[in-house]
Amino acid sequence: MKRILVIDDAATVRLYHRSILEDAGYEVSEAVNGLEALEKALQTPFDLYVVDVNMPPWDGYGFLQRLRLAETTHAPAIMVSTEAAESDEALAYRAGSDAYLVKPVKPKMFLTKISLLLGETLV
Amino acid sequence: MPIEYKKNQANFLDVATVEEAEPLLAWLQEKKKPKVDLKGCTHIHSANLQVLMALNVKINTWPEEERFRAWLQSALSH
Amino acid sequence: MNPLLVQFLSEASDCLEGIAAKLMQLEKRPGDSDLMNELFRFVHTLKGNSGLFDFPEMTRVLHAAEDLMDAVRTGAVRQTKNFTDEILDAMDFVGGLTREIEAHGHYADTHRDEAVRIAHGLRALLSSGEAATSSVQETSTSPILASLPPQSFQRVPEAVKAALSNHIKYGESCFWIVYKPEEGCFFQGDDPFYLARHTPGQIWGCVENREPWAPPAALDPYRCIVDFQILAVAFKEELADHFRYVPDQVKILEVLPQWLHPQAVAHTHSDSNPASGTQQSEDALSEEIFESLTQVFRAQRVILEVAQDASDKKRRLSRIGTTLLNCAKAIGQPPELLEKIAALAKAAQESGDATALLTWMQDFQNAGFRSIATAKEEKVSAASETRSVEEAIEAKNAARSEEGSPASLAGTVAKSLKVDQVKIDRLMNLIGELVVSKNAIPYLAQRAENQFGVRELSREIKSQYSVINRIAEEMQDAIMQIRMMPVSVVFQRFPRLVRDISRKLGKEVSLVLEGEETEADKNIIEALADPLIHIVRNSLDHGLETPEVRKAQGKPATGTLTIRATQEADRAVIEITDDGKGINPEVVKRKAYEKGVIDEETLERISDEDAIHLIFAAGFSTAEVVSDLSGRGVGMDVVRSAVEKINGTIDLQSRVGKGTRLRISLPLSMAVTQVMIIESDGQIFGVPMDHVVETVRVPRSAVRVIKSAQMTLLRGRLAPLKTLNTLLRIPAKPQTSADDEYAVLVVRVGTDTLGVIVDEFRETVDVIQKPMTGVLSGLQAYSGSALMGDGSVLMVLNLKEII
Repeated sequence: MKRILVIDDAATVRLYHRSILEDAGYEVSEAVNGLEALEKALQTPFDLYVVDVNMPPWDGYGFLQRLRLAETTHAPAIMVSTEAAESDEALAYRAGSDAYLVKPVKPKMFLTKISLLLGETLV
Repeated sequence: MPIEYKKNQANFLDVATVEEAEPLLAWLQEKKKPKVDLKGCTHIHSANLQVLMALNVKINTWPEEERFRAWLQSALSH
Repeated sequence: MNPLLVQFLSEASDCLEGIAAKLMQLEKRPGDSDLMNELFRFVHTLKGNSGLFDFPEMTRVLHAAEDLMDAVRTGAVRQTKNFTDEILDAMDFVGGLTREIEAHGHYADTHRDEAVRIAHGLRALLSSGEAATSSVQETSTSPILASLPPQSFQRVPEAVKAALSNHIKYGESCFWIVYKPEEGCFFQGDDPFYLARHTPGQIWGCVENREPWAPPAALDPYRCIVDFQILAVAFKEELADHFRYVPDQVKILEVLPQWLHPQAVAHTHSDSNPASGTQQSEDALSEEIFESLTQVFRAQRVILEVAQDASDKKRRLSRIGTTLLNCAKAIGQPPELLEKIAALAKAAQESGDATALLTWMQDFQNAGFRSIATAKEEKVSAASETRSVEEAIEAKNAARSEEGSPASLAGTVAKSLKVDQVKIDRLMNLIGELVVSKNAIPYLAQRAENQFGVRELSREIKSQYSVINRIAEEMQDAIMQIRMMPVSVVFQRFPRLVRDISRKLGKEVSLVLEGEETEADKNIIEALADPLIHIVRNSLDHGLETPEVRKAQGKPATGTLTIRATQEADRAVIEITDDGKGINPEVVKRKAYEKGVIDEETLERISDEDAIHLIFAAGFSTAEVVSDLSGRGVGMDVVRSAVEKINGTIDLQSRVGKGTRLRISLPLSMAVTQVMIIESDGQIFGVPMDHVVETVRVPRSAVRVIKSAQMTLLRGRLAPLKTLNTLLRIPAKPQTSADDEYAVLVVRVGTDTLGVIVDEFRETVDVIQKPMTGVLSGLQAYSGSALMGDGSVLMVLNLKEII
């Protein structure tokens, strides 16, 4: 079973993502900010990260940059943001994200992208 | 180039400009069964288009250029 | 209650409390940035959460509040007493909504107007004197997204909708433009028809009057009362730019897949959304997958672009490689493709050059994320081909016409079969042999009657033969159908190609593709790709002029390149037309002379028509500068031989200043050809019946020798006689019959009629000609070989070459 870490400071959003992901058969862990996320990731690396942008103390970019420097094997990360602008997307990719979604995420697209990134067979 | 008016036929050559709309309208009203030849035509100003559409003119020969022809055919065959 | 809703309410309550508290503190310490940030965070979180549910009124108010908060904390708007009051009011409103939700699971409909009022009030503060920041509008300047097409979209013809569907499938942006010019626009020098006609990327358009026409006597032609609707495949920036002088008269809507497939409804919140707790039935996944893949692919390109330095680039390439590999795996691509991706990614990492990888990505994307034909294993899984298998089977069933055709096949969804190329080839060979061996049966029947005197038997054999014959021909047709592919397979790469190249060359080109559904045999389609690309490149490079040059000549700045495929009888015809500068016979003539392709006399005498065709001569190229795009100004001779190799012909028409049209005619399939078998020096050869006029016996006495060439009277005219043995360098003399007559095959090659002396004529047969391969392909004398009924191989002569 693939393990996904959901990082967002809003509990409701974490729960929202969790329900979608658990329904699809993933094991979900949560972190409220980049700091906690990095600690968890360094302990036991996850198969995929769902990263919100706006969270103190480090925002999503900060977390990703540190993660990319620290990790040994690369795990895909999807950045989730409220911004739909291309410039924000580019920032996400510069920080180390592999895909981008605008909030609120639509369940189907969310799961499809995750399957693509994880190389899991889509019907 | 100005529209060439022969006895019963109007030949549109190259581009029909905005000033030609009124003379065209007058000519079309004069003739009983006017014919319009667009073979050598590459463009007509919207004003001329309106005249052709309003009078529901019968077109003898359509222009060569495909997309231009398509535009005109859709406009004039209602 | 839905656990997510419970969580929401809990967090909402926290946020509202936090907002109230911070606001109070902020009043005491105005301008405290920490406080402002915290305040912003609360509003932002609350707004984000509300967006997960179906609470538009709440979200609207919170959105306005968030924008206002953002402006205040960045200092764009000053914090005033008004500000605090407005926010408090807004939060009270939101609090009221949450209480209703807590009680009933949702709030009443009646809050809409109040929500609008409050949001308005908040936004009003944004532009209150102070430097008004960003988004006061809730809509941006990007095209409107309408999930349902406008009424008038219905009148778009099916063929155009089909083409549109393809464009969308291949990831191109398509727009529906409504242009309503204002009445007095002519007096401002506008010509709306011109503007509409020259919309970049347009594939369809129509014009109609928006009010009834006045009677002719009262008509004012200078009052504009027509509206235009246009479908265009272009970038939204291009369109916005094109209509930049009349933005208020134009509406640009993005064409969404839903417009073409109304049953695939746009995904709203309510499909399998935990927030609403309802589940909608599963739509076909392919649309999500396609969209996701398109986005992921685009993301990879950007990921590469934003690399900071060489080592960062390397790390990114590694990640991109993994991502692409996983995507390919997810959509069930074969191992060879996975290996290929891995290899490309590795190569890119090592060399630091990602061009090959990016090109592969583009090609793969253009092919609709399906693997393009690879060497051995090929999956015939495209819908049209599998549909043809279905059709072939259905046709056969229908032909049998037994009552109640198998219900299982009728009217079911087309099922796909993945078939190895090898199996299809085997089928083709078998049917080829069948077609040939059945030919012997009529002769057997004849023998039964003549030699053995069994007439009854002969009749029965003939009767049964006609049944077998029909079945064999149908089978062959069905199998050929399997190999038929639409030319769109080749055409689909052109929009991108044309756009990229024309941009690089600074030219504006509108590409029109027509007849993409025209089908031809797989081999032919595949062989067509390269020549077509060369032709298109040449046209873009040397044919079409820059916008400045074009305008100076009174041509529209945007050049048009049309690629059209049609079917004419048993040929597929591809025409590539451009309205560029055409081919100048003078230039071509001179160049040909300089390169020694023609001599001085020819230079003087040659007609313009023939001069233009000199571009097909070997070693010819008028490219003054080696353009980095077309490479070494690709010679048309290469194109021509590629076309001729697949039994096609290519012709060209051109007018200086007007444009050029190239016309390629191809056989639809590797069909059966009728050949006449002739014998010479004990060997048999085949001559395509296309060339054969008749067979005659010419007495030796009738052969004249004029200037050391043999001639004779054929059909009342003097025609040359050639001996096949001599042509094929067989050291034997032709045999004559008992009456001292030569067997002469009268043939037509090009425009010439001549006689070929052979030893004997044999029968005419149907064969499936296969081109010479491998070492033998250098033998020009033969156009191919064919398998005979008895297993022997017949060499088919290429008369054009040997005579």
